Order: sequence, then structure tokens, then C-alpha cells
Amino acid sequence: MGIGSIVLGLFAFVCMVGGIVLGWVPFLGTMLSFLAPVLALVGIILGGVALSRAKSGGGESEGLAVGGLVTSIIAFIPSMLVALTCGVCNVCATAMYLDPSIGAFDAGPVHPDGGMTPNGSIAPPPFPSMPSVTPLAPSSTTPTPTLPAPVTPTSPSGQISPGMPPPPLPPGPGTG
Amino acid sequence: MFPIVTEVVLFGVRRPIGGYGLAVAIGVFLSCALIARVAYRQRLDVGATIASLGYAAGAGFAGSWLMFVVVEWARSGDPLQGIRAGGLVFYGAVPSVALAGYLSARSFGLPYLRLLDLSVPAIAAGHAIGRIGCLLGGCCFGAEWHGAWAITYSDPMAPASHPSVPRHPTPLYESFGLIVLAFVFALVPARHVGTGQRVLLYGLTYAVLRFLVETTRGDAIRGMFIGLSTSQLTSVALFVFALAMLWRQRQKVA
Repeated sequence: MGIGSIVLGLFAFVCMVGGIVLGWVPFLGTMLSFLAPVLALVGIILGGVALSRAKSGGGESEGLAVGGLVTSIIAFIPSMLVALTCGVCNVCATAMYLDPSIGAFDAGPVHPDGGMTPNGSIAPPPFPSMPSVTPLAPSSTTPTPTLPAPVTPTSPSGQISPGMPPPPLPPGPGTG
Repeated sequence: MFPIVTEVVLFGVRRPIGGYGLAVAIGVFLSCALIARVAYRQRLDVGATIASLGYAAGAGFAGSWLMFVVVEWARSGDPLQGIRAGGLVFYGAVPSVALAGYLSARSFGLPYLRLLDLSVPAIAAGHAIGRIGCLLGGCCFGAEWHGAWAITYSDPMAPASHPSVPRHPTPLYESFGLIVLAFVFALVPARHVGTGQRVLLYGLTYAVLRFLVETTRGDAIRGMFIGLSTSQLTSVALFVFALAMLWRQRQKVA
């Protein structure tokens, strides 16, 4: 069990590095990012059981048990960091891969929330992909640019809906 | 605040490290380390305690994530919304940690209630640090408020910065309350240890703290039922449960 704990701790490290490097790959990045803390946790459990058995004379080596515990605990903390940052980012990337309409807003992982306000209305964040608009100074030589008339969305039944639906953006990292 | 506290570079790939994840990781680690220390000082089986903590931590993350998915489902009507978004709700961890801790402690022959009673300050301290993560990440934010200690989130990555207005530092309120609870439970001499009385008292006081803190929250992202947030309803349920169990214990002693 002590050896198993060490091996799992090392595997957790490998998955964590994979989660960081392949965080942009849909599905694979998620799997690696979330697998790392799971492996580390299993390593901690095995290490704990091995230590318990070693103390009670159950034929386990105390050194290996402590080594496995230390390896798994050291792997667990950065693994969880990667899962809660790169892993969650990859969930967003996977969501965009599955539903390209989310990607149209270029929200991605950098906008963890839709900007919900207390009254429930949605204030979309300033997306970095949006072109910045600089006000034009009125000039006699340059013609005033004419903007196209705003398109009012209509429902399938032909009725005019009051406004565009809010963008489907993911919420923040924690709501608890 | 600091939704991204630092960046790591591995093989030329730059990845951000979020403040929320960092604080949660430190909080969980601190809680587990303190509980293992308690087990060591009580001459309990430290290895079995660590293994139980591993089960409890895994169940805690699974439970809080499942609760997040359920809350998101109830809010948006889309069962996949919570899976796509990703997040944690603390109250989801409570039953799962309790159950996993109980089952694992039983299988390892550990005195579950005694360990739980003595772990109350460690649980509160870890939770307080986890809440600092909400402050850093800009989630679980407060309602708009222009008082003396209002904070304004300016980082566009923080959900609380949309709109960027002065707000109640709600995560700090809860964090402060939890630190006070941790100190009170650590300093007050432990009586009736092993009966579950201390952990029930903690549940009672935390439910009150959380119910009050929720009144200052401004993220309407969670579900609201009969004028109360889901966490307030859970607080009421926790309060009633803890009170009923304490009353039952008193009746037994009498």
C-alpha cells in the first residue's frame, strides 16, 4: 500500500502537468485536471491505511507509508489548484466546443460570471474581443457614418420580443 | 481583488492560478492537518485518521459540486448548466463529509463523534480561509453598499465587478465570523466530548451566522424560494436539526 501510495502520488503529478499543458484541449484537459486530485486523494487514503497498518504491526513498512503520504499530499495541493483553475477553464472550453454560440461571445474562461446583479438583470462584462469604439469628432469634411437600423428580434410566432436574450455565460467559481 | 494570483509556466505554456482555488486548497489542507494533529494528541490512529480525511475530502468536493449542479439546474432549468460552468456550494459538502467520515471512521475503528467534536475549530478555521478565496475570486459577493468598509471590485474577471460598484465585503463577514467561532471552540474547554454536542453547537451557530451573512449578499445567481436564498433555507434546516438533536440529548441525560 505504501508503494501504491507513492505511485499514485507520482501519477497525480503527471496528470497535473498534463492538465496544465493540455488545458486548452477539450475533454482531455478536463480529464487530466480532475483526475490529478482524485489520484492524489486515493494516494493519501492508501498512505494513511498503510501507516495505520505499519503502526499496528500489519506488515507494512512505515517508511514507505510516510513516503507515500508525503508524495500524495504534496501532489494533492497543486493538483487541486490546477483542477479549480485549469480544469474549470477547460470545462468552459469544452462547453464552447460543444456549443459554438457560447464562443461567439468569446467569453471563455476569462469571464467566470455573467455579471448577475441583485435584481436579476444581466450586465455583460466588457469582452476583450469586442472592438473598442472611439467617438468621432464631428467634421465638415468627413461624412457622418450612418449606422444600420437596429434589428429587433422576433419570436417564431412573429411577435416582437422586448429584447435580445441574455448571453449564456457560466457563473463564478463558487456560489456557496 | 485577485482572481488570478500568479501564473505558472510549464514547457512554455502559461497557466493562471486562481485565488479561489489557492484559498480552498490551503483551507482544506489546514483543516486536515489540524485534525490529524488532534488525532495525534489524542493518541488516536493517525494513519486511519488521514485515510478517513481523504475519504471525507473526496466526498466533500463531490457533494459540494453536486449541490452546485442542482442549484444551477433549479436556477436555469438546464440540467447541464452546472456541469458546464463548474463551481462549489459549501452546504453540499456537509452531508457528504458527515456520511463519508462516519463510514470510514467506523471501518477503521475510530471514535467518530469524539474526533468530530475535537475537530470543530479546525473545520471552522479551514472554512474561514476558503471564504477568503471568494473574496479573492470576486464570487459570493455582497450587495451594493456605500458604507465605511465597502469594497469595489475592479478586476473584470471578478463576477463582482459587473457592475463595479461599492459592495458589502460579504466573504469577509463570514470569514471573520468563522474565525471567531474557531477561537471560541478552541478556547472554551471541551465538555461532553464524544457526544456530538460540540459539533451540533457549531452547526447551530454557523447556521445563524450564515443566515445573517446571506442578507448582505448581492449575487442573485443562486435560487430564491419564498423570499429566502437556498443557503438561508439550508441554514434554517440545519438550525432546526441541530436544535432538535441537542434537545434530544438533553432529554436523554435528564
